Amino acid sequence: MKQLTKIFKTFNFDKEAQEQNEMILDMVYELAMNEIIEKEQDWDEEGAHFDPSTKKVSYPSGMMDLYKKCQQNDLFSIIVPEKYDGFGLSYTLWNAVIELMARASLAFSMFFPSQGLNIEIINNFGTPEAKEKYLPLLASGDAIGAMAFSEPNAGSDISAVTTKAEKEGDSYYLTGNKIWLSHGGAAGTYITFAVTDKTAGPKGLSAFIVDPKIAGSNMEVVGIEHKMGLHGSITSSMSLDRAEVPKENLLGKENDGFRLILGSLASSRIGIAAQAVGISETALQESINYSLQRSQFGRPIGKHQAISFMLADMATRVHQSRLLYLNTAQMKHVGANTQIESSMAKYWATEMAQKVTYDAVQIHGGYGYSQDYAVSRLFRDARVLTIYEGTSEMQKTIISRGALSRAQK
Amino acid sequence: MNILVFVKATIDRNAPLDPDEIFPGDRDDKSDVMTNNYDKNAIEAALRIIEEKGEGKVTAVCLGSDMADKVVKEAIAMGCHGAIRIENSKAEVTHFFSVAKILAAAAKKIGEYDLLLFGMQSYDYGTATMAPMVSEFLDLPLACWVEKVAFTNGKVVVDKVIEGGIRKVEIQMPAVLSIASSGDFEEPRYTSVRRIMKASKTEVPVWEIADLGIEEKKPSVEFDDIEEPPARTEKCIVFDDGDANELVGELIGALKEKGLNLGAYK
Repeated sequence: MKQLTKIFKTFNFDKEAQEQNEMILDMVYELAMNEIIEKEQDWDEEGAHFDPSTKKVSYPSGMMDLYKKCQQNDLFSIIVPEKYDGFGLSYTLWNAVIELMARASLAFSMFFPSQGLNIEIINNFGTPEAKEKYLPLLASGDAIGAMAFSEPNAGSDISAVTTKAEKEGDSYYLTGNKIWLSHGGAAGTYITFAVTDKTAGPKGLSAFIVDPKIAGSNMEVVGIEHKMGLHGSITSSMSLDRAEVPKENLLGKENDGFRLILGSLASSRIGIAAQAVGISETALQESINYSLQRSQFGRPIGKHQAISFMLADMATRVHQSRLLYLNTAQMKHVGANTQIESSMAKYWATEMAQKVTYDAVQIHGGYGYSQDYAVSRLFRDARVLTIYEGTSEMQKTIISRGALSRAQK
Repeated sequence: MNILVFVKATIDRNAPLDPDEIFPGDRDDKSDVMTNNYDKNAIEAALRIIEEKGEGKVTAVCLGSDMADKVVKEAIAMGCHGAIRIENSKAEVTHFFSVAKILAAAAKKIGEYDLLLFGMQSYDYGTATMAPMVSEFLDLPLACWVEKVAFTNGKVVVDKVIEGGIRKVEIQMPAVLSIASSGDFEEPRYTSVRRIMKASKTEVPVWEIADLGIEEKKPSVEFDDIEEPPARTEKCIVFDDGDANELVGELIGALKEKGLNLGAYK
């Protein structure tokens, strides 16, 4: 925690904002470390639920109680503008909150990055009606924000989506299949895109807010994924069969959806880097504690150079990635374009998390491979980080293109 | 209903231990300081009483240096309507007796109150003496370790923890209560972003000890020196390999060897 506040002091927040930041981080730390972390093991074992007969999904027991505490503490309103019941605070603070949540539970922290992206996209590109309607709901957390981008044949190549949107009167009607939806079936808003002009390729895609209350039974969960990790988080496949989206829920201009969404993803990538730092920090702390407890050859293993040097490397890697994501968030806060830096932070921090959680298992030896020890779960959970929100390879593509175009200038 | 809650700044339990820096005022990093966690139960009790009554005001009172600003702000961010800090810049007053005199004098200066609430003890010294001493100085009735509060005919009815049970007591107000960390107020509320924003904009008045009209200024007792205990050299022996009955025998044998009086186990 001190590491975080130390870095915050290097940013030029005024005294009042600094005080607010510290108090909010203290509160989140307390919630995460006193209540959320102790549930994580149970959530992992129980997993998310799907009932095929009712098509309903649900989170593991007790998760929504803690979600409600986040609501009571106004955590989802941090970056929402004051005009829409938020506090208009910094992206730096928002991402630090994500780190703290991910320290306790990566599955629980999944509520945050997609909420942030919903808020940002609707605030930047929503119609006045949509902002008025959805931003207060997202700020209070009464609506969980979800992203519906991937399709069976559109993963990294998200412009290959085939879901179509047909305009009739004052509404669009969306038909297609979406997969890998975090919170799919439980969310209150889904940001998606669909083909509005099939002759124009990526320039024929439009972005929408799908409201499940309006779409009704024309949008339903087909199933949930049984994943390697992140068991507590819902990951669904959903089908849209002429799901209605009123024209006020169009984001930006028609056929401008691809550019708009792609430009916004940079923002949530900072949040994924923050998640990677959070889970790695916990892997590091678990390793430090264990290496002081566990004795071999007559002394704690942490006193053997082989282990102490591993710990030194882990601590340095975590610190480096924390600087990277916080600095990128701060750049965004002051209004800079962080397209490249966000990809760098996401790529670097999530790859770092693989190494740090791997080493954490190694330090724990045989016990690290046991499900009774947290590090085995951290290792499984962390694996997804280099994949979702754009694989490491896609990040490198973005970074290298950016570097090449800079070189030409 | 006017309630005063007395809160204390203590060194954060996660902060590194340093015998030369035992008071919050000795530290120069604010993140080393935290609200005495038992005081949060008292804040919770005060806020719940006001919420149930539908009217009233809760004021947090804290004796401390500017390191304690964080503590009074946290009290407001939990929901207190206001706060007062009494300046104790060089941690010059540290003894419990002197602290209690100052807190009692502050309550007198505030004047209007129906209840004075304390946490049941402090996290650092744990003397649990503040509520009893303040009630003596102000000549007010006292109930300690209160788990539940109700009101009837202008009196407060409390459930207080006693050994092996609960005693119900009806007390005239104004009264001094120390709130238990169990029972109705076991889970103090968190701060919230909304209330933190409000707290950071709230001016907290700072009072000087000199303005409280207390005769005795010098602490009656001073800390001479505090040092770390010597590192323990005893080794821990664990008996966990084999049949339980045999292990008990081995354990008793080892204790006898150490010359321990085992009473009936001879």
